[in-house]
Amino acid sequence: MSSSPDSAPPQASRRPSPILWLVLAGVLVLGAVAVWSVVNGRLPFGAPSFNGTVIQSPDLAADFTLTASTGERLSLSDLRGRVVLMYFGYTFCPDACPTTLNELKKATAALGDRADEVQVVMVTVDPQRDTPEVLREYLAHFDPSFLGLTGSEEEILAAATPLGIYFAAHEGSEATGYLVDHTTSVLAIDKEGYLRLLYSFETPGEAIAEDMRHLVRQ
Amino acid sequence: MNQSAVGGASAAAQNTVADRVKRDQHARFRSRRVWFYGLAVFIALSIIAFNIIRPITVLPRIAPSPGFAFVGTDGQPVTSEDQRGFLTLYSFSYLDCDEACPSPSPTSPRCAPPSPSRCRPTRRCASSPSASTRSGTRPERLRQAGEAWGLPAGAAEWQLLTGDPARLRATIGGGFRVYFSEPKEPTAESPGRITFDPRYVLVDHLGIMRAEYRIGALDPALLARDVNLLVEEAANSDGIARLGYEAAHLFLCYPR
Repeated sequence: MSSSPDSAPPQASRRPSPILWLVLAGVLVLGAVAVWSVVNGRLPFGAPSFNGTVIQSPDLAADFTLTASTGERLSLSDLRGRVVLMYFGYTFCPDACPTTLNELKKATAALGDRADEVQVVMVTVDPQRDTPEVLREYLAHFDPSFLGLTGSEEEILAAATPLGIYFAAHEGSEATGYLVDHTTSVLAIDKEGYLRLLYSFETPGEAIAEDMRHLVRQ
Repeated sequence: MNQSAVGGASAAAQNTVADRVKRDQHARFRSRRVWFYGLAVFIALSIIAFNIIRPITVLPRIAPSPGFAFVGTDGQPVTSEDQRGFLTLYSFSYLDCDEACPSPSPTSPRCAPPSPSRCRPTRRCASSPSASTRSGTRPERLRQAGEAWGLPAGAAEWQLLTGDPARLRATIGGGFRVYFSEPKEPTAESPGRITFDPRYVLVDHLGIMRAEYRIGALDPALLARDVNLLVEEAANSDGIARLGYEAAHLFLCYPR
Protein backbone atom coordinates (compact mmCIF):
# COMPACT_ATOMS: atom_id res chain seq x y z
CA MET A 1 0.00 0.00 0.00
CA SER A 2 1.37 3.34 -0.94
CA SER A 3 0.51 6.57 0.72
CA SER A 4 -0.64 9.51 -1.33
CA PRO A 5 1.70 12.53 -1.67
CA ASP A 6 -0.79 14.63 0.22
CA SER A 7 -0.51 12.43 3.20
CA ALA A 8 3.35 12.40 3.26
CA PRO A 9 4.87 13.96 6.37
CA PRO A 10 6.29 17.44 5.73
CA GLN A 11 10.06 17.26 5.03
CA ALA A 12 12.50 19.54 6.77
CA SER A 13 13.61 22.43 4.55
CA ARG A 14 16.91 21.60 2.79
CA ARG A 15 17.56 25.08 1.40
CA PRO A 16 21.16 26.04 2.10
CA SER A 17 21.57 28.99 4.40
CA PRO A 18 22.31 32.41 2.86
CA ILE A 19 25.72 32.40 4.56
CA LEU A 20 26.70 29.29 2.65
CA TRP A 21 25.56 30.90 -0.57
CA LEU A 22 27.62 33.98 0.24
CA VAL A 23 30.71 31.91 0.96
CA LEU A 24 30.24 30.00 -2.29
CA ALA A 25 29.75 33.24 -4.18
CA GLY A 26 32.84 34.69 -2.54
CA VAL A 27 34.91 31.69 -3.54
CA LEU A 28 33.59 32.03 -7.08
CA VAL A 29 34.46 35.72 -7.15
CA LEU A 30 37.96 35.07 -5.86
CA GLY A 31 38.36 32.32 -8.43
CA ALA A 32 37.21 34.67 -11.17
CA VAL A 33 39.62 37.34 -9.90
CA ALA A 34 42.47 34.83 -9.95
CA VAL A 35 41.62 33.74 -13.50
CA TRP A 36 41.30 37.37 -14.58
CA SER A 37 44.70 38.18 -13.04
CA VAL A 38 46.32 35.24 -14.80
CA VAL A 39 44.78 36.11 -18.16
CA ASN A 40 45.56 39.83 -17.91
CA GLY A 41 48.84 39.47 -16.10
CA ARG A 42 48.07 42.18 -13.55
CA LEU A 43 46.32 42.75 -10.26
CA PRO A 44 42.56 43.47 -10.23
CA PHE A 45 40.58 46.44 -8.87
CA GLY A 46 42.82 48.96 -10.59
CA ALA A 47 45.85 48.00 -8.50
CA PRO A 48 48.65 48.49 -11.00
CA SER A 49 51.14 45.71 -11.49
CA PHE A 50 54.06 47.65 -12.85
CA ASN A 51 56.55 46.40 -15.39
CA GLY A 52 59.33 48.20 -13.56
CA THR A 53 60.57 47.30 -10.09
CA VAL A 54 58.50 49.18 -7.52
CA ILE A 55 60.34 51.12 -4.83
CA GLN A 56 58.48 51.77 -1.57
CA SER A 57 60.67 54.48 -0.13
CA PRO A 58 58.90 56.77 2.31
CA ASP A 59 61.43 59.52 1.51
CA LEU A 60 61.43 61.92 -1.40
CA ALA A 61 64.16 61.38 -3.99
CA ALA A 62 67.17 63.44 -2.91
CA ASP A 63 66.97 66.85 -4.55
CA PHE A 64 69.81 68.27 -6.61
CA THR A 65 70.44 71.24 -8.84
CA LEU A 66 72.26 71.06 -12.19
CA THR A 67 72.50 73.07 -15.40
CA ALA A 68 69.85 72.15 -17.94
CA SER A 69 70.38 71.90 -21.69
CA THR A 70 68.32 75.09 -21.90
CA GLY A 71 71.12 76.87 -20.02
CA GLU A 72 69.12 77.40 -16.81
CA ARG A 73 69.89 75.98 -13.39
CA LEU A 74 67.26 73.36 -12.67
CA SER A 75 66.45 71.35 -9.54
CA LEU A 76 64.75 67.98 -9.50
CA SER A 77 62.07 69.54 -7.31
CA ASP A 78 61.29 72.04 -10.11
CA LEU A 79 59.86 69.11 -12.06
CA ARG A 80 57.23 68.22 -9.43
CA GLY A 81 53.82 67.86 -10.99
CA ARG A 82 55.23 65.78 -13.85
CA VAL A 83 56.47 62.23 -13.85
CA VAL A 84 60.23 62.22 -14.49
CA LEU A 85 61.93 59.44 -16.40
CA MET A 86 65.58 59.87 -15.51
CA TYR A 87 68.56 58.33 -17.20
CA PHE A 88 72.27 58.82 -16.58
CA GLY A 89 74.33 58.61 -19.76
CA TYR A 90 76.55 60.67 -22.06
CA THR A 91 76.60 61.82 -25.64
CA PHE A 92 79.76 59.88 -26.63
CA CYS A 93 78.17 56.67 -25.35
CA PRO A 94 78.49 54.11 -28.12
CA ASP A 95 75.64 51.70 -27.35
CA ALA A 96 73.56 51.69 -24.16
CA CYS A 97 72.57 55.37 -24.18
CA PRO A 98 71.16 55.60 -27.72
CA THR A 99 69.34 52.30 -27.19
CA THR A 100 67.74 53.52 -23.96
CA LEU A 101 66.88 56.96 -25.35
CA ASN A 102 65.20 55.26 -28.32
CA GLU A 103 63.04 53.23 -25.94
CA LEU A 104 62.19 56.37 -23.99
CA LYS A 105 61.23 58.04 -27.26
CA LYS A 106 58.90 55.11 -28.01
CA ALA A 107 57.45 55.39 -24.51
CA THR A 108 56.58 59.07 -24.85
CA ALA A 109 55.21 58.52 -28.36
CA ALA A 110 52.95 55.74 -27.03
CA LEU A 111 51.60 58.08 -24.35
CA GLY A 112 50.07 60.40 -26.95
CA ASP A 113 48.29 63.35 -25.38
CA ARG A 114 49.56 62.48 -21.93
CA ALA A 115 53.21 62.68 -22.98
CA ASP A 116 53.42 66.25 -21.75
CA GLU A 117 52.84 64.95 -18.21
CA VAL A 118 56.08 63.00 -18.45
CA GLN A 119 59.52 64.62 -18.64
CA VAL A 120 62.47 62.59 -19.89
CA VAL A 121 65.74 63.78 -18.36
CA MET A 122 69.24 62.60 -19.20
CA VAL A 123 71.92 63.54 -16.66
CA THR A 124 75.35 63.37 -18.19
CA VAL A 125 78.07 61.28 -16.54
CA ASP A 126 80.64 63.02 -18.76
CA PRO A 127 80.46 66.68 -17.79
CA GLN A 128 83.82 67.42 -19.42
CA ARG A 129 82.46 66.89 -22.92
CA ASP A 130 78.71 67.30 -22.43
CA THR A 131 78.03 71.00 -22.25
CA PRO A 132 74.40 72.22 -22.28
CA GLU A 133 74.68 72.91 -26.02
CA VAL A 134 76.08 69.47 -26.82
CA LEU A 135 73.34 67.85 -24.75
CA ARG A 136 70.61 69.90 -26.42
CA GLU A 137 71.81 69.00 -29.88
CA TYR A 138 72.21 65.32 -29.02
CA LEU A 139 68.83 64.90 -27.33
CA ALA A 140 67.03 66.72 -30.16
CA HIS A 141 67.88 63.73 -32.36
CA PHE A 142 65.60 61.65 -30.17
CA ASP A 143 62.96 64.14 -29.02
CA PRO A 144 63.31 67.91 -28.63
CA SER A 145 61.32 67.73 -25.40
CA PHE A 146 63.99 65.58 -23.72
CA LEU A 147 65.96 67.57 -21.19
CA GLY A 148 69.70 67.25 -20.53
CA LEU A 149 71.39 68.08 -17.23
CA THR A 150 75.05 68.71 -16.57
CA GLY A 151 77.25 70.20 -13.85
CA SER A 152 80.52 69.66 -12.08
CA GLU A 153 81.63 66.10 -11.43
CA GLU A 154 80.95 66.57 -7.71
CA GLU A 155 77.41 67.80 -8.40
CA ILE A 156 76.70 64.87 -10.68
CA LEU A 157 78.20 62.43 -8.20
CA ALA A 158 75.98 63.83 -5.46
CA ALA A 159 72.93 63.46 -7.72
CA ALA A 160 73.75 59.99 -9.03
CA THR A 161 74.96 58.10 -5.96
CA PRO A 162 71.74 58.13 -3.89
CA LEU A 163 69.81 57.04 -6.97
CA GLY A 164 71.95 53.93 -7.30
CA ILE A 165 73.95 55.18 -10.26
CA TYR A 166 77.65 54.55 -10.51
CA PHE A 167 79.96 56.00 -13.14
CA ALA A 168 83.70 55.93 -13.75
CA ALA A 169 85.77 57.01 -16.73
CA HIS A 170 88.27 54.66 -18.33
CA GLU A 171 90.52 54.59 -21.37
CA GLY A 172 88.88 54.01 -24.74
CA SER A 173 90.40 53.81 -28.20
CA GLU A 174 91.94 56.65 -30.20
CA ALA A 175 88.70 57.01 -32.09
CA THR A 176 86.43 57.20 -29.06
CA GLY A 177 88.68 58.92 -26.57
CA TYR A 178 87.92 57.97 -22.98
CA LEU A 179 84.70 56.11 -22.23
CA VAL A 180 82.55 56.19 -19.12
CA ASP A 181 81.20 53.06 -17.48
CA HIS A 182 77.85 53.74 -15.88
CA THR A 183 74.69 52.15 -14.55
CA THR A 184 72.10 51.84 -17.30
CA SER A 185 68.90 51.85 -15.23
CA VAL A 186 66.06 54.24 -15.96
CA LEU A 187 64.34 55.73 -12.91
CA ALA A 188 60.75 56.91 -12.70
CA ILE A 189 60.04 59.66 -10.17
CA ASP A 190 56.37 60.41 -9.58
CA LYS A 191 54.62 63.77 -9.61
CA GLU A 192 55.22 64.27 -5.90
CA GLY A 193 58.94 63.58 -6.13
CA TYR A 194 59.10 59.97 -4.89
CA LEU A 195 61.26 57.45 -6.69
CA ARG A 196 58.68 54.83 -7.70
CA LEU A 197 60.10 52.54 -10.37
CA LEU A 198 63.38 51.19 -11.68
CA TYR A 199 63.81 49.82 -15.19
CA SER A 200 66.67 47.64 -16.19
CA PHE A 201 68.51 48.12 -19.47
CA GLU A 202 66.49 47.27 -22.60
CA THR A 203 63.07 47.50 -20.95
CA PRO A 204 60.79 48.10 -23.96
CA GLY A 205 59.34 51.58 -24.38
CA GLU A 206 55.81 50.13 -24.52
CA ALA A 207 56.24 48.58 -21.08
CA ILE A 208 57.47 51.91 -19.70
CA ALA A 209 54.54 53.72 -21.34
CA GLU A 210 52.08 51.28 -19.73
CA ASP A 211 53.47 52.14 -16.29
CA MET A 212 53.49 55.86 -17.05
CA ARG A 213 49.75 55.73 -17.77
CA HIS A 214 49.23 54.61 -14.16
CA LEU A 215 51.68 57.12 -12.69
CA VAL A 216 50.28 60.17 -14.50
CA ARG A 217 46.79 59.31 -13.22
CA GLN A 218 47.93 59.20 -9.58
CA MET B 1 -24.74 38.55 -10.31
CA ASN B 2 -24.32 42.17 -9.49
CA GLN B 3 -21.96 43.83 -11.92
CA SER B 4 -20.47 46.28 -9.44
CA ALA B 5 -19.75 43.45 -7.05
CA VAL B 6 -17.88 41.62 -9.81
CA GLY B 7 -15.95 44.78 -10.68
CA GLY B 8 -15.04 45.30 -7.01
CA ALA B 9 -13.78 41.75 -6.64
CA SER B 10 -11.68 42.10 -9.79
CA ALA B 11 -10.16 45.36 -8.56
CA ALA B 12 -9.35 43.79 -5.20
CA ALA B 13 -7.71 40.84 -6.98
CA GLN B 14 -5.67 43.26 -9.14
CA ASN B 15 -4.59 45.15 -6.04
CA THR B 16 -3.54 41.92 -4.40
CA VAL B 17 -1.51 40.92 -7.47
CA ALA B 18 0.06 44.38 -7.69
CA ASP B 19 0.93 44.25 -4.00
CA ARG B 20 2.45 40.83 -4.41
CA VAL B 21 4.51 41.97 -7.40
CA LYS B 22 5.69 45.00 -5.45
CA ARG B 23 6.54 42.86 -2.45
CA ASP B 24 8.44 40.43 -4.69
CA GLN B 25 10.35 43.28 -6.33
CA HIS B 26 11.20 44.72 -2.93
CA ALA B 27 12.31 41.33 -1.67
CA ARG B 28 14.45 40.81 -4.78
CA PHE B 29 15.98 44.25 -4.35
CA ARG B 30 16.69 43.54 -0.71
CA SER B 31 18.17 40.20 -1.65
CA ARG B 32 20.42 41.82 -4.26
CA ARG B 33 21.52 44.41 -1.71
CA VAL B 34 22.37 41.67 0.75
CA TRP B 35 24.40 39.95 -1.95
CA PHE B 36 26.20 43.15 -2.86
CA TYR B 37 27.09 44.06 0.70
CA GLY B 38 27.90 40.44 1.47
CA LEU B 39 30.37 40.25 -1.38
CA ALA B 40 31.92 43.60 -0.49
CA VAL B 41 32.39 42.42 3.09
CA PHE B 42 33.77 39.10 1.85
CA ILE B 43 36.35 40.80 -0.38
CA ALA B 44 37.31 43.19 2.39
CA LEU B 45 37.67 40.28 4.79
CA SER B 46 39.77 38.41 2.24
CA ILE B 47 42.15 41.37 1.97
CA ILE B 48 42.34 41.66 5.75
CA ALA B 49 42.91 37.90 5.99
CA PHE B 50 45.73 38.23 3.42
CA ASN B 51 47.30 40.84 5.66
CA ILE B 52 46.85 38.83 8.84
CA ILE B 53 47.72 35.39 7.52
CA ARG B 54 50.40 36.74 5.18
CA PRO B 55 50.77 33.76 2.91
CA ILE B 56 53.73 35.58 1.36
CA THR B 57 56.11 37.73 3.37
CA VAL B 58 58.49 40.15 1.71
CA LEU B 59 61.06 42.75 2.71
CA PRO B 60 60.33 46.33 1.65
CA ARG B 61 62.10 47.81 -1.35
CA ILE B 62 63.54 50.77 0.49
CA ALA B 63 65.65 52.56 -2.12
CA PRO B 64 68.30 51.84 -4.73
CA SER B 65 71.60 50.89 -3.23
CA PRO B 66 74.02 53.74 -3.93
CA GLY B 67 76.28 53.53 -6.93
CA PHE B 68 79.97 53.47 -6.09
CA ALA B 69 83.44 52.75 -7.47
CA PHE B 70 85.89 51.80 -4.71
CA VAL B 71 89.00 49.66 -4.45
CA GLY B 72 89.55 46.42 -2.58
CA THR B 73 92.52 45.44 -0.43
CA ASP B 74 94.29 44.20 -3.57
CA GLY B 75 93.96 47.66 -5.12
CA GLN B 76 91.55 46.41 -7.78
CA PRO B 77 88.38 48.42 -8.51
CA VAL B 78 85.12 47.19 -7.05
CA THR B 79 81.89 48.83 -8.18
CA SER B 80 78.26 48.60 -7.21
CA GLU B 81 77.59 46.98 -10.58
CA ASP B 82 79.85 44.05 -9.58
CA GLN B 83 77.31 43.15 -6.90
CA ARG B 84 74.36 42.79 -9.30
CA GLY B 85 72.86 39.36 -9.19
CA PHE B 86 73.99 38.70 -5.62
CA LEU B 87 72.78 39.48 -2.15
CA THR B 88 75.17 41.83 -0.42
CA LEU B 89 75.50 42.93 3.17
CA TYR B 90 77.21 46.27 3.75
CA SER B 91 78.72 47.47 6.97
CA PHE B 92 80.70 50.61 7.71
CA SER B 93 83.69 51.18 9.87
CA TYR B 94 87.13 52.70 10.01
CA LEU B 95 90.39 51.14 10.94
CA ASP B 96 91.15 52.87 14.22
CA CYS B 97 87.67 52.30 15.47
CA ASP B 98 87.31 50.52 18.78
CA GLU B 99 84.24 49.39 20.69
CA ALA B 100 81.81 51.70 18.85
CA CYS B 101 82.20 49.89 15.53
CA PRO B 102 80.52 46.73 14.32
CA SER B 103 82.52 43.65 15.19
CA PRO B 104 84.81 42.58 12.35
CA SER B 105 83.72 39.01 12.84
CA PRO B 106 83.99 36.94 9.69
CA THR B 107 80.53 35.49 10.38
CA SER B 108 78.30 35.83 7.36
CA PRO B 109 74.68 34.94 6.72
CA ARG B 110 74.16 31.56 5.21
CA CYS B 111 72.01 30.98 2.21
CA ALA B 112 68.78 29.08 2.35
CA PRO B 113 69.06 25.58 0.91
CA PRO B 114 66.70 26.10 -2.08
CA SER B 115 69.07 28.26 -4.04
CA PRO B 116 72.51 28.55 -2.53
CA SER B 117 74.01 29.72 -5.80
CA ARG B 118 72.02 32.95 -5.54
CA CYS B 119 73.84 34.05 -2.44
CA ARG B 120 77.29 35.45 -2.64
CA PRO B 121 79.59 35.82 0.30
CA THR B 122 78.69 39.03 2.00
CA ARG B 123 80.75 42.13 1.68
CA ARG B 124 81.91 44.73 4.04
CA CYS B 125 82.41 48.30 3.09
CA ALA B 126 85.11 49.46 5.47
CA SER B 127 85.79 53.08 5.03
CA SER B 128 86.96 56.31 6.37
CA PRO B 129 86.12 59.72 4.94
CA SER B 130 89.67 60.79 5.61
CA ALA B 131 91.34 58.50 3.12
CA SER B 132 93.57 61.20 1.77
CA THR B 133 94.92 62.29 5.11
CA ARG B 134 95.16 59.13 7.16
CA SER B 135 97.16 56.12 6.28
CA GLY B 136 94.45 53.86 7.68
CA THR B 137 92.37 53.77 4.54
CA ARG B 138 94.92 52.98 1.88
CA PRO B 139 94.35 49.55 0.36
CA GLU B 140 97.62 48.27 1.76
CA ARG B 141 96.73 49.38 5.29
CA LEU B 142 93.26 47.94 4.84
CA ARG B 143 94.76 44.61 3.82
CA GLN B 144 96.95 44.53 6.92
CA ALA B 145 93.97 45.27 9.12
CA GLY B 146 91.95 42.59 7.35
CA GLU B 147 94.64 40.04 8.06
CA ALA B 148 94.67 41.08 11.70
CA TRP B 149 90.90 40.52 11.76
CA GLY B 150 91.25 37.10 10.19
CA LEU B 151 90.10 38.37 6.82
CA PRO B 152 92.97 38.00 4.36
CA ALA B 153 92.68 39.45 0.85
CA GLY B 154 90.19 37.41 -1.11
CA ALA B 155 88.43 36.20 2.04
CA ALA B 156 85.14 34.59 1.21
CA GLU B 157 83.12 36.26 3.94
CA TRP B 158 83.94 39.91 3.75
CA GLN B 159 85.56 42.20 1.26
CA LEU B 160 87.10 45.37 2.61
CA LEU B 161 86.69 48.46 0.46
CA THR B 162 87.95 51.99 0.51
CA GLY B 163 88.17 54.86 -1.92
CA ASP B 164 88.22 58.49 -2.78
CA PRO B 165 86.97 60.66 0.14
CA ALA B 166 84.34 62.46 -1.97
CA ARG B 167 82.91 59.19 -3.22
CA LEU B 168 83.00 57.67 0.25
CA ARG B 169 81.08 60.63 1.60
CA ALA B 170 78.54 60.54 -1.22
CA THR B 171 78.08 56.78 -0.93
CA ILE B 172 78.01 56.29 2.81
CA GLY B 173 76.36 59.53 3.85
CA GLY B 174 74.26 60.32 0.79
CA GLY B 175 73.49 56.82 -0.42
CA PHE B 176 73.37 54.54 2.60
CA ARG B 177 72.29 57.44 4.84
CA VAL B 178 74.80 56.64 7.55
CA TYR B 179 75.53 59.65 9.65
CA PHE B 180 79.18 60.26 10.44
CA SER B 181 81.13 63.22 11.68
CA GLU B 182 84.18 64.59 9.97
CA PRO B 183 87.29 62.99 11.49
CA LYS B 184 89.64 64.99 13.64
CA GLU B 185 93.37 64.64 13.31
CA PRO B 186 94.67 62.40 16.10
CA THR B 187 96.40 64.20 18.94
CA ALA B 188 98.01 63.08 22.16
CA GLU B 189 94.71 63.67 23.94
CA SER B 190 92.35 62.32 21.32
CA PRO B 191 92.78 59.41 18.91
CA GLY B 192 90.83 61.30 16.20
CA ARG B 193 87.68 59.27 16.29
CA ILE B 194 84.87 59.48 13.79
CA THR B 195 81.40 59.51 15.29
CA PHE B 196 78.91 57.50 13.30
CA ASP B 197 75.78 55.35 13.55
CA PRO B 198 76.66 51.67 13.22
CA ARG B 199 74.55 50.13 10.49
CA TYR B 200 74.25 47.07 8.31
CA VAL B 201 72.39 47.23 5.01
CA LEU B 202 71.14 44.22 3.09
CA VAL B 203 70.94 44.74 -0.69
CA ASP B 204 69.19 42.38 -3.08
CA HIS B 205 70.31 40.98 -6.42
CA LEU B 206 68.76 43.94 -8.28
CA GLY B 207 70.73 46.48 -6.27
CA ILE B 208 67.85 47.57 -4.05
CA MET B 209 68.22 48.13 -0.31
CA ARG B 210 65.87 45.70 1.42
CA ALA B 211 66.76 45.89 5.10
CA GLU B 212 68.64 48.22 7.43
CA TYR B 213 69.90 47.13 10.83
CA ARG B 214 70.76 50.07 13.02
CA ILE B 215 72.69 48.04 15.55
CA GLY B 216 76.31 47.37 16.34
CA ALA B 217 76.00 43.60 16.63
CA LEU B 218 73.78 41.95 14.07
CA ASP B 219 71.67 38.98 15.14
CA PRO B 220 72.62 36.14 12.75
CA ALA B 221 69.14 34.60 13.07
CA LEU B 222 67.48 37.84 11.97
CA LEU B 223 69.86 38.18 9.07
CA ALA B 224 69.35 34.56 8.03
CA ARG B 225 65.57 35.06 8.06
CA ASP B 226 65.85 38.11 5.80
CA VAL B 227 68.33 36.45 3.46
CA ASN B 228 65.96 33.48 3.14
CA LEU B 229 63.06 35.79 2.30
CA LEU B 230 65.08 37.42 -0.46
CA VAL B 231 66.28 34.11 -1.83
CA GLU B 232 62.71 32.77 -1.88
CA GLU B 233 61.41 35.91 -3.57
CA ALA B 234 64.12 35.80 -6.22
CA ALA B 235 63.47 32.12 -6.84
CA ASN B 236 59.66 32.23 -6.87
CA SER B 237 58.56 35.59 -8.19
CA ASP B 238 58.71 34.84 -11.90
CA GLY B 239 55.65 34.55 -14.11
CA ILE B 240 52.28 34.25 -12.42
CA ALA B 241 53.77 33.92 -8.94
CA ARG B 242 55.09 37.44 -9.36
CA LEU B 243 51.53 38.73 -8.88
CA GLY B 244 51.40 37.15 -5.45
CA TYR B 245 54.66 38.83 -4.49
CA GLU B 246 53.53 42.17 -5.89
CA ALA B 247 50.31 41.84 -3.85
CA ALA B 248 52.43 41.14 -0.78
CA HIS B 249 54.40 44.34 -1.48
CA LEU B 250 51.17 46.24 -2.11
CA PHE B 251 49.65 45.09 1.19
CA LEU B 252 52.94 45.67 3.05
CA CYS B 253 53.27 42.04 4.15
CA TYR B 254 56.54 42.58 5.95
CA PRO B 255 57.97 40.29 8.62
CA ARG B 256 56.89 41.14 12.13
